Amino acid sequence: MKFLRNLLDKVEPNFTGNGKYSKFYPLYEMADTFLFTPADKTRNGPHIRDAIDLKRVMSFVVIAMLPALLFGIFNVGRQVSESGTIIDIFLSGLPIVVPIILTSYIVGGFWEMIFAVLRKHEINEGFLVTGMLIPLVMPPTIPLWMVALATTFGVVIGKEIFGGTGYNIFNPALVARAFIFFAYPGAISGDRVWTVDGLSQATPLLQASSEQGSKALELLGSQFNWWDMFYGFIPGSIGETSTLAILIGAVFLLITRIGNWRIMAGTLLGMLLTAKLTNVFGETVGSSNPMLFLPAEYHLVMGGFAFGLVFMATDPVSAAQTDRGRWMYGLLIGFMCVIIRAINPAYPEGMMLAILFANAFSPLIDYFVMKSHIKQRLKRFAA
Amino acid sequence: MNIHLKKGHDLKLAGKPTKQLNNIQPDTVVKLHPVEFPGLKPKLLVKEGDAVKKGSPIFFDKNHPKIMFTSPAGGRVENIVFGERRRIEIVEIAVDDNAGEMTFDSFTPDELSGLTGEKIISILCTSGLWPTIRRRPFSKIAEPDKSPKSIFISTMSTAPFAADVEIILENTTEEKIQAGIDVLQSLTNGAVNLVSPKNDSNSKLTDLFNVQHHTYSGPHPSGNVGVHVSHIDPIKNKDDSIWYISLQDVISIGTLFLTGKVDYRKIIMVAGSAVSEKQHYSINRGTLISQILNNNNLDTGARIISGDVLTGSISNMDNAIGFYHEAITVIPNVPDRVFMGWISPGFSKYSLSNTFLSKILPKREQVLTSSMNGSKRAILPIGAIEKVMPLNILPTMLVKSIIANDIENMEQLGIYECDAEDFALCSFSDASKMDITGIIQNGLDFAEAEG
Repeated sequence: MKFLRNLLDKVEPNFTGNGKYSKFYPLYEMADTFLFTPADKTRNGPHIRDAIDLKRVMSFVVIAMLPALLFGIFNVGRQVSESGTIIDIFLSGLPIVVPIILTSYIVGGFWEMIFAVLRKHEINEGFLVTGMLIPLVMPPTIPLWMVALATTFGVVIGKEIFGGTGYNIFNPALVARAFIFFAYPGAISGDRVWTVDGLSQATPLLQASSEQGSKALELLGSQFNWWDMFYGFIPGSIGETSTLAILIGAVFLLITRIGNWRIMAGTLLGMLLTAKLTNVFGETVGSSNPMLFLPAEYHLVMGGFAFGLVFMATDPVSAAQTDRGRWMYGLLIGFMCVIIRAINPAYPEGMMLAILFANAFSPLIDYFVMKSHIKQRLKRFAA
Repeated sequence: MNIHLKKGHDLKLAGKPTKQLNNIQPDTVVKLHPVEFPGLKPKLLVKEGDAVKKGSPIFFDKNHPKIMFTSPAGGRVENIVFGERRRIEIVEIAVDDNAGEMTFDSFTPDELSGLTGEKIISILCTSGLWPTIRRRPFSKIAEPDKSPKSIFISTMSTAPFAADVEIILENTTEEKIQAGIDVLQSLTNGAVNLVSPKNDSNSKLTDLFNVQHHTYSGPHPSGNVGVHVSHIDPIKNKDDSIWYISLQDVISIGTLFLTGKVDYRKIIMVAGSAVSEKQHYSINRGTLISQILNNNNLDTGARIISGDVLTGSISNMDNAIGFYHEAITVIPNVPDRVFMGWISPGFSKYSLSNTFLSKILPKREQVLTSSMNGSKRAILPIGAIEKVMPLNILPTMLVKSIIANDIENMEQLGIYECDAEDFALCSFSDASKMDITGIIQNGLDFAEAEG
């Protein structure tokens, strides 16, 4: 380690002050603080600081995504090679998933670097998370150029034009996915994109909404049982299929307190209540819309709900930023997700739009929480 | 009433002081630092070479010409150091024990309650003890021509390493504290509130009268004046005013009125993991840090802090201990560059978050250095700062309104209830390494000027 430290210290003058490559200081800074915790010292009180920093926060989110990623690779591999050991199946998934991840990280990293150099600020760790989120919400058949384009759109339009990580309104990874959804709908919806074996196979959500006049569970039939969907042996986006793997990540985020439990609980509660409501409503009016009859526990394991709840909704920047606001924000996501799934016949996956919708509303939610806080403060003073 | 906090944190740091008390007599030099009083416009009353008595006025505040700052020792004005734009930075006084002492009117305890506010203010201002009384909002020296709605006496800080209130009480008399309280009571129509630790039952505190007794419990910042004020008599707007003073300064005031002389001595403690003799000292105000740390071994390059590790200011051997400070903390100042620290298991790392394995080990006192432990980033509200903010304040929202210079929002969100020191743990625990205390201070300065 001493060797590395000495090497870094030796090249540092090239990147600072009048050094040859001083324009590229953000690159040096990134390598330097990636390898060693920064040398920065406190300048005033408090003179000591907590050991946590954003690098750790962001890498812990990536760690939390690993179970979903690993299962995703396995699940994709399963579509290519039906037989073989678990390792074989996993290995056959790698050549499909890894290029998508690399594309996302390389293209996103490129933009981060450009903006860091132009704006003369340090490279933010936020992209560690975005770069992993984007591949995990893509179907395995997505062409790499589309990943590159979506990543570009997500990072530049979704984040950098607002000023970078911390200033964005929408979750950049969801902006990337929404871009594909609206620009190339054929690549991310329908029944032909979810498996890599060339056969058309509907996702459970598509299946459950496929026929007017029946009920969702009847349509799912024996093709998709709840446990298969919970474990994740279903077609879908790479990282979204296994609720179990996502739950492991959720537990990790909750224990480390990096994921906000209020947002997660709010989203879950919102979904449960709304699903119950649509069930009752469907029964009462005798609706022919199959999705109105989907029970809450199925909403949980189908589509992007669990993944969105754990990894997307909890993005602290685009979420509400007050404790009470976080509850409302979560409830809104859960509510919107079920409503979009049930009411919108064209697109049964509601989670992406639900979270983007709640992202747009989170400043307003915070505003109301703030107003009620101010009112309560005034009341206290009046007494 | 007992103020119990649930939110907050008691930092467990290595370098705790012992209860031993050493006496340090003023050596050859004492110093005054006019720059340490925020907003003060000092005007000198002496020039280099002038002989001064102990208690002689050295400079006063142009904005409040009554308020004198006096010499903590007799002798001769040795040196006056000016900074940019002729700002007075240091007044250095060479100590001469035979230079004499200023005397003021003295009273018996019974006479004190008969004194008019005017008389009291006049004595406090000329004696140089007035600046020990500060006001909220803004934490500046109290304005003598105004009357506060109440006065708060804080007994013991809950920040890491505060002078032990028991040692302070051992070295004073109840009579002096009572006299100080009686004097303060004449300055307000409201209450004088004494807020002491819940587990403290020293009769020198509990037997005091003419004062409202309160207690506090729970983690830091439960000992902060701002917390006490917000529970007992909250600041409602900019024109609201409370005054506050530390117990030791109350004792100084009491002594002044009983004896007619200013007692410039006070008890401080030296602590921190980079200093050898961690203990209490009885010193003269204005004593140089080099003299206090005379027999100490310091780590190379260690950071010397006048005050506690959360709110103190960076100082050095040549400076005197801060006027309001009752501690000198010394911490290691070497960069602690951990290889791949962002992913290390962190068995020996101190964090309020749950991302280090040290969390599952038994709690022990740890050495913390001046390292930032990370790079500065934009706000990433993961809820960590809310966990250590016990005031009825939305910290993230307040910080944002300050950065946006939104005075209306700042006021509505309660900026006047805040002081930078109440946000020290927010700064400490923030993963984005934002200077939250600095931002709050900017907000207060802005609100004072514009609000």
